[in-house]
Amino acid sequence: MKRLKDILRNVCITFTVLALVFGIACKMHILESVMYEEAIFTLFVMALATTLFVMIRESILPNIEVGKGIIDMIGCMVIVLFICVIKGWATLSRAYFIMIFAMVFIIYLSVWLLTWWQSKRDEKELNALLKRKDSKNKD
Amino acid sequence: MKLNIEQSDQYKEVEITIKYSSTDAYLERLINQIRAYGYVIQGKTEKDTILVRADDIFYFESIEGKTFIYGEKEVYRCDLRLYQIEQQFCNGLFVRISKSNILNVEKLKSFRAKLNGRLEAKLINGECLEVKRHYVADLKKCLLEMGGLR
Repeated sequence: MKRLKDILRNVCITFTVLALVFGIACKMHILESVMYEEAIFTLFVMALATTLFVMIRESILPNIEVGKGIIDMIGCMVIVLFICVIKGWATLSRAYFIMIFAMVFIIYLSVWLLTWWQSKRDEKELNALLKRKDSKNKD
Repeated sequence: MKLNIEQSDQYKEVEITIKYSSTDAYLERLINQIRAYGYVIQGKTEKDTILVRADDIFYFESIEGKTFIYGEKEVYRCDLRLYQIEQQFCNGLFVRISKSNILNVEKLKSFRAKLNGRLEAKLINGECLEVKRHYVADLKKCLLEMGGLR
């Protein structure tokens, strides 16, 4: 039951994010011939498919640290793009795929680098504070 | 600050007296820490119920709605919920490090940044716990006050 609740929550979050991204993409004319009546159902299918992909990855590879984000990112991107192509919203061109992949990859890498850099700084600071506390306790 | 320590066989239990004219946040924290050392919590094993001293506790963990007390090697069940423990204990000696963990700061050995951007706290018994980014500021504040930095 808890699992079902988690799945539904993740699907809702993914659906909202996808709807926002697709709204922007349509407004900017990045996606073509989107039928708005069908879009909601398709976005829901996308959200469900990406959530299931992440769940399957979690059950097959639960303990990986670094590769987790990259696998999820590539898998979800392929699912979303593939559905877009099937629906006729985007053309299957290599340049299009490479461009989106590069953009997502750069964003992912920047976020990862920033987080890692921040945690390195925290590590240094916390260890210094811990050392200080221990030396004070010894005194 | 003057510190008087007296040791004698005539005393049956430890007595701490603090004399001050006006209090501040650091003094209150010190008082809370002293109080925390005197705290005991009821821990259950499969057979019986025992009282666990706060300074023997390494961390608390909540798993699927159940709360557990972790000592150096032993684990006990606890009837209190994690938020109740937080209200009672997180005033100097203990600090929340994730949604499901409350850690005794005195049992910390070191920190390590992991490649996924998360922090890992290593305890003196060799166990490792993950510190969520959301709670890093609280942890820093706690260590900062325990280290006497202003």
